[in-house]
Amino acid sequence: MKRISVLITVAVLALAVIGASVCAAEDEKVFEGSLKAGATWNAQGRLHADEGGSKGGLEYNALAAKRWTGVFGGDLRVNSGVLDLSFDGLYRDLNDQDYEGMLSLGRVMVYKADYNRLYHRLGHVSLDNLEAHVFSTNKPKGQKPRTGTDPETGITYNTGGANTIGTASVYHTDRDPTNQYAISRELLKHSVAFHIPNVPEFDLTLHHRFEQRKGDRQAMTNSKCRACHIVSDTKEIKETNNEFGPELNLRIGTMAFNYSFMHREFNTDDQEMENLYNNTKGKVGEDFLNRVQYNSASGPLPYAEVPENRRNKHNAKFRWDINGHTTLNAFYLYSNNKNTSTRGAYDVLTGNYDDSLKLKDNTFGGRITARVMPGLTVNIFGKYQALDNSDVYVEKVQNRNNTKSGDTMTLAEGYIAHGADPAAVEEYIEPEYERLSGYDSNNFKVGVNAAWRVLRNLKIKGEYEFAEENRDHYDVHSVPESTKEHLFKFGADYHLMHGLKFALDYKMAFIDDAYRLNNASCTPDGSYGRYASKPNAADFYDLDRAYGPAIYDKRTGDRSNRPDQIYEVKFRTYWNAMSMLNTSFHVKYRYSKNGELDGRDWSNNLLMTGLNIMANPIRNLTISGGYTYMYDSYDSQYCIAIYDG
Amino acid sequence: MDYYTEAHSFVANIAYQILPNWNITTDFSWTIGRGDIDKLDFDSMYPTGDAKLDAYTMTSAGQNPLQPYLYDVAYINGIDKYSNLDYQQIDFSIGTSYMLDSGVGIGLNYYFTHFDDDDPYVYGDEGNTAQFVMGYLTYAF
Repeated sequence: MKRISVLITVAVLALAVIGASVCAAEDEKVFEGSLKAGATWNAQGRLHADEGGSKGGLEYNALAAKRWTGVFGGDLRVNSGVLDLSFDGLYRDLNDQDYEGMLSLGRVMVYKADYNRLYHRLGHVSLDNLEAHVFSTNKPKGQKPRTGTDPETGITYNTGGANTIGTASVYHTDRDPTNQYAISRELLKHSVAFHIPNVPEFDLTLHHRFEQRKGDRQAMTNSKCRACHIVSDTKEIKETNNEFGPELNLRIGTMAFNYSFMHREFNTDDQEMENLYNNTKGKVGEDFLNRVQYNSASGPLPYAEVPENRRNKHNAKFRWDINGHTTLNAFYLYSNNKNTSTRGAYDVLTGNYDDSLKLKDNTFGGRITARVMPGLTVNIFGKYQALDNSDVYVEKVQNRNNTKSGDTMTLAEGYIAHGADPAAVEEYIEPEYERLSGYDSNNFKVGVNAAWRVLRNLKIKGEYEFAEENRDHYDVHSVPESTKEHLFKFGADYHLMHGLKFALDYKMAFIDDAYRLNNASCTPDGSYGRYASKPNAADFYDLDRAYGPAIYDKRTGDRSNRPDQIYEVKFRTYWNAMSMLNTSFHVKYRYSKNGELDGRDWSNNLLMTGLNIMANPIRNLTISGGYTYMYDSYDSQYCIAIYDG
Repeated sequence: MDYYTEAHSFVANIAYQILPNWNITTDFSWTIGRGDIDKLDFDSMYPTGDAKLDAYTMTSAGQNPLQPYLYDVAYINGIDKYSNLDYQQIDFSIGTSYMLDSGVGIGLNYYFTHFDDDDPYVYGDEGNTAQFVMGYLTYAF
């Protein structure tokens, strides 16, 4: 509201300044506008909080929770010659406001502002889908054991004589089941531009963008009893995104230069959610303390936290009209994105004490556009990008089991004591290591395209593009070292007759080693691996039955949802049948697949089509309509992961 | 495993200026959204093939012989239902405004929204209907 007050104050001051001009201007209307006042009646009745997630169609409607709301708005235009001002505004609710304005002082200084506020209703997950306590006969309070035969699976539950085996069960508790979650979002964008009189070659603009989100949302975590119990609670949200920086333009002869700097800070004053976890217990009394990174003695852990970050971005663009037929464009981008919330309570998990994660992006590129002959235009372009992300030192906390079972070993000591090779244990446990980022990469793209107007009403187009991604730490992330893509595009625009145009485009791409996760799933023989954690010491410390060797290392299936082949065709037509009827039709079909996944192919079919019509059958009457259809399907191999713990 | 989504969307708008100072506008949109994972049908993997687990289960007194089912992939059959998406939304509005010679104008708008959630999931049944009537006065200067 402070910002709205500033806008209104600016408008009022401007009106006061030009008062004399208004009185003096007898013939010319320099001052005009309108005011609007009214009310909205919610005829259906208020959307009550106890209706939970019933927000369909009203996700962004702030008025649904009230019976009556006021409507106030207006617009104002002032054109005095020296001072120009415009303002439009509409208030329908505290969470439904829109304003925009402009103030120009002799065009030397131009101030523009845009403010809006909206309400976003969020969902409230019931958590019922997490229920998985089907086998327990020794049921927790309030839970019912499943009985009878499942008609789909044929499995018969609780056939009698069964004792407790419900350790794989999952329960849930919603600690605030009636709360209707929502976020109120404010966005203010404004800028002031300076144009020096008689120096049109130079201008300077200062930009500022401020976004704030307030409200509450559902936050989920494990309960103090760990993963067997999921809980959700309300988290209060208060986040700001503050962005500002200058932009300057310089034109010298046939050359133009643009530079901008942007500083952005994302800060949060959200409610700090924390949870203190109990020591994990095995189903028959074994302690699992030495199998987890977190020791309850370290205090509570944060959850549902959004990290703060800070970004600085420099962007420089250059354009040179070499001659009437050839233009050169070039750009350079440097961006440094710093995560400033990776310290504090997370140190106990990562070992990354008092350090911040940074992602640096260095990108440069260029394009030459040349009209090599009448009707034929050629573009040659290229881009190089280097991404550098922080490495993180990780130190694992090697807890010891408590003395309840008389076992005080660390997990590594336990494996070795039961016959495992110390080197294999070291490799599996990795007490400390440098986490090398998967973002670190060097990427480039080069290409050429041409458009040739073969006939007065026919233009054909073609393009070839080659792109390559090279990942620095592909080996530790089990991804391809490099991905190479060849992209071909062909197209034609045909103007059949007055008012009837067709456009046809075809694209195909062939990708070598599309991004994938190697050995991501699926054991070779469908045996699902062997299980870990048998309830006796010998099996508990049997390295061959640990998750790493028994499950993760056994996986052989590469998985990806990126294609290694893409085929796409697009067709569009525009028809101005007569002065009062315009139509357009478009259709796009794309087939993409990845056949490099050891027979477990991934594929995607996408179809989009639509028709738009606009007609003016009589004067002052406009009728428009449209239909859009989208069909998107995926086919993927599904390997089930089995866990026992 | 196949997964698909599809959407139909119809929109229409009519704007008519009946008189120089009287106009009427109406908007209509109808959206249908569907999505689904094909039915999963895993065969039961019992016995698990893990001889040690099976042996333990079968020979240990007091243990439930159904224990291997805890890890049976067939138990996942049915999760495809969680993916089902089936809804339609209709939005309709009509409004008119009339400007008097003195610069004073009046306006009246009606808004209707109907949402059918035919396959509720984690957020519950999101279906509802809403109607709003907005009246206002304007003054142009």
